[in-house]
Amino acid sequence: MKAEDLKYLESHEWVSVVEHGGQQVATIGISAFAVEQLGDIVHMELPGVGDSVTAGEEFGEVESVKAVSSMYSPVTGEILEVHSAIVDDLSVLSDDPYQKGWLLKVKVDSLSKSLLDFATYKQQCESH
Amino acid sequence: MAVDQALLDLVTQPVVRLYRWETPTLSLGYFQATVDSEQHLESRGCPVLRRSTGGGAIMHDFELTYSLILPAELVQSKTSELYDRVHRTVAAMLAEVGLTALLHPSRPTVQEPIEHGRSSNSSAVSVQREPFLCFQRRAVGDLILWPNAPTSGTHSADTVLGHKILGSAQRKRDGAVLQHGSILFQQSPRAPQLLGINDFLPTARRCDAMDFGLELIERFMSQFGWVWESSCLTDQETNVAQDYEQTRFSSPAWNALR
Repeated sequence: MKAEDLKYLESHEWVSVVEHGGQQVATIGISAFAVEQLGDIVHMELPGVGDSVTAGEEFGEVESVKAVSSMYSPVTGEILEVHSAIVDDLSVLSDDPYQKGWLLKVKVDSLSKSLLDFATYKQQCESH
Repeated sequence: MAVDQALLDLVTQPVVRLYRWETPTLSLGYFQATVDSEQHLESRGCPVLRRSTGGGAIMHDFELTYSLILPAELVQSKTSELYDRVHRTVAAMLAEVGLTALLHPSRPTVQEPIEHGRSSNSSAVSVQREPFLCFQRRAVGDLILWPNAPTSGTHSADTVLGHKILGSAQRKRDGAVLQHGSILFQQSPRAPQLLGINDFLPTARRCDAMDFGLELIERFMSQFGWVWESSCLTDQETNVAQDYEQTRFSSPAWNALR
């Protein structure tokens, strides 16, 4: 996945939605900009398979530089897969945030109405 | 800490709080395992709670806790600069009483062997096992005292690591930031590994924690051109804080979350 092809929340989560077996499946992660801003990520907590997420609401937390931040879901739906292994090697987030750094796959009920395209998201990051 | 959390939810303008603890209390960093506190023998028997902010455990005894809450519109993208702002201000105040304190310049240097990950339905892991107590850790920007020699007690001279006397941590929510910090003033029997500011000063020049904190607020606010005034919690803030107290900071489920 290329950063240019993804949608973003203002809070720096990315989402890619594909059709799979007649069902929309979203892959969710956090952007390269977020990873860079967070700095050295030392802890991450993710929900479990089968849990529900709601667009715009928290789905997990990270700690970096002694700061705990929430991650917010770009979609509403049921979690199909969790990238549990990533919490054992968080460097993947900075090495490859849009491929190997994925966090959740979700069966989509609905998308956030606040998704930004890459150009708009990039502009937001540059204005920080 | 329930009040801090309520203020983070409702913040519209900068708020600074200072407080001390009626009962010596151990606060765990948000991601710390409760079981780790059982290994810290000196603090056994003390109440234990879990902060919403990160970092390591703090023994709240002979220390001053500060909290700084900023609304999103006043938060820079690099929130670690807030640590430096407060810590540099304290360093300047300590210089005036003859103590040299410097911001720790590099990545953590005190670490124990890597801890293997643990997974359950919900995934959480500590990638590196750091010392249990915040004040035994070293992170960029921590305020480290470099005394010539301690004036009280018998201590191993810590000439390599110095003495951390101020550490801070944050919780972010919708762009707003809560920053907690602890300033150590004196060695506690519940954490005898750690020395405080007054352990390095002759009796006549020892600092009163609350006076020190109030001066810190004055200086910190003046850096931004802010004028502060004391105020009470609103009814809404009180209600939200009471809710957090029940559901989190007085709740065994929250405090033993990990």
